[in-house]
Amino acid sequence: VESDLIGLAGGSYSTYSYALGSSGSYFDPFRLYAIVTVQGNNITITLPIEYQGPGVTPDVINKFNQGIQNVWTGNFGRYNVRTIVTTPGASCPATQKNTITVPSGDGRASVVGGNTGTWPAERPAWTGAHEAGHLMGLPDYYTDLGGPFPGYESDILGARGGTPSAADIINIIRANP
Amino acid sequence: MSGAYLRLSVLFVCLTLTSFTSGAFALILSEQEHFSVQLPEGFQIVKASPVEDFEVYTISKGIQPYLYVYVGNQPTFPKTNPGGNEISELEGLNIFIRSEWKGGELIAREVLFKMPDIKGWPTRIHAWTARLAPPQLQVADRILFSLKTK
Repeated sequence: VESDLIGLAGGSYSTYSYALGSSGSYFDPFRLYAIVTVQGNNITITLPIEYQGPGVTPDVINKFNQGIQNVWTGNFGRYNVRTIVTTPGASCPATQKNTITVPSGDGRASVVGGNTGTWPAERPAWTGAHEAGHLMGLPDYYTDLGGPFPGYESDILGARGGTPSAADIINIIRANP
Repeated sequence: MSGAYLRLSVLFVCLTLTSFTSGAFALILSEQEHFSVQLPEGFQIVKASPVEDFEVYTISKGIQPYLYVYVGNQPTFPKTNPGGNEISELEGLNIFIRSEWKGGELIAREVLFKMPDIKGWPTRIHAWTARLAPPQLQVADRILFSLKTK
């Protein structure tokens, strides 16, 4: 397994531990639900998300879904990625979808385990895109002094307003075999 | 599991006894929102929040960081790459300890605390020592093992 995905020479950052699902990892890999299709460098990510709670409106759903699709679609390194958020059917079992509770107002957004979370209605679209990274199996990228690890300064999982990287795409593929 | 749990308990007892019988420094309880930690005099703790769903606390003395604490739901654990050094791991019900050794000497240690998912946020606290000389690392290690989650 190649661990140094983006050339972190000299660093000590483990880029593969969570993807391998070590006993100390933060999520249950069996609770992740993203469908990742790989055809050469063309990657399609399908993320079924069901929204529930008092803050759910068509505008809020559209904001989060568009935010996820816009941020996670594009060319990241050598990968051409298309991300689609779908609405699961009424009979879809909980294990085959992501369930997000949307409280009214503002607050802290989070994902718990692998496929559930809380995204307050007033959080911006970027927040949904960051949290979607967790639904796809990515951890927060952080390092000493609270800053992102070298190589992740502008990554969506490490810095406010950041964007996805090729390393994120590789790790999503590994986490969603 | 029981063997690992026993070893973990013994480790805790040893470290706690070492911490509180040394008499080398007075400890001050620092209460944070989601954890508490005992700091020697002259140490301070500073919080940063790079993204809204996690926080990183830095515990330092002067400009020298000793220990870092991540509070959130998706930690990068383990954080360190052994690079040829020996690694020992201990796992309890809600705690995972990973230590890095070189020639029998502790180089770094990190601990992952797991809280119940029903808590919502935070469900994980990840603390790790800075790269330090042995005397400073011993102090960082004592601070690390004084950490209690809330």
